[in-house]
Amino acid sequence: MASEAELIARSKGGDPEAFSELISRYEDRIFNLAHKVCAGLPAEAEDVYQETFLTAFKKLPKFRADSDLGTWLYRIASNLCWMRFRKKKAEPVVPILDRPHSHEEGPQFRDWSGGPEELSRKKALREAVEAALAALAVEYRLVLVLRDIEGRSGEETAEVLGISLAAVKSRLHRARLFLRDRLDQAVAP
Amino acid sequence: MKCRDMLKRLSEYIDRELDPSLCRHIDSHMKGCKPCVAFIKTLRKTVGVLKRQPGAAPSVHLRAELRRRLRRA
Repeated sequence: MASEAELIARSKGGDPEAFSELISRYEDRIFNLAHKVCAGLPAEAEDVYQETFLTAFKKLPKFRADSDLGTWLYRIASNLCWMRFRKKKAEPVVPILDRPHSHEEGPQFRDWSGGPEELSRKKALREAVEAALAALAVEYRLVLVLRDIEGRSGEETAEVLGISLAAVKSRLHRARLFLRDRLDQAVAP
Repeated sequence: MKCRDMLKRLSEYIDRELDPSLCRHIDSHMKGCKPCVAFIKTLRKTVGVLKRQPGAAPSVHLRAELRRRLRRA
């Protein structure tokens, strides 16, 4: 099997077969990112998937050998997603952070942590997650998908998105709290 | 540590990225605050549900279409 460096070198020379082999190594990850970030919009996800690799093929001569190809592809795909959804800039409203009370005098939280495990196999919960993702502004959605669905580290997520690690942590926390609230509503009896 | 202060740090806590002394404060707070225990359990579960979301893959047709477009590029 050809090494990644060898395939990159051949692809830089315009060899589409070598680039096709590189695509095979990354396309499922890139498609999954696009699918989750373009929540509920499969045609957009398909466009992002194709445009990511077409853009990468065009820009490959500028790709630096000391960079990580996966991170670079994630960056292209994330940027394409951001361009599609950037107009929706609202912060996710998280009652526990944004309303002027805490549960000492306000809401009491229910423990449904035993429920969703069983429910996670059900279509209803998957749909609740999809709907909650779609309701998030894209900059929060990207962080949540890269960290919690794709399993990237905070540092790699910061590099992919061109933001600080502190911003990754802040957006991740707010997005998770938002999702928790939405799932709380979805599992309410 | 108040509930509200603790809730701001819970993602770092469940990701094990928090300073050990702050973790001890949170652990100690949990012993006497049932709502916060419920909150952190459901937050952990939320992250678990996200991690278990089924992966999506491109269809055979879409993979082939991308290769066709690349050969024309």
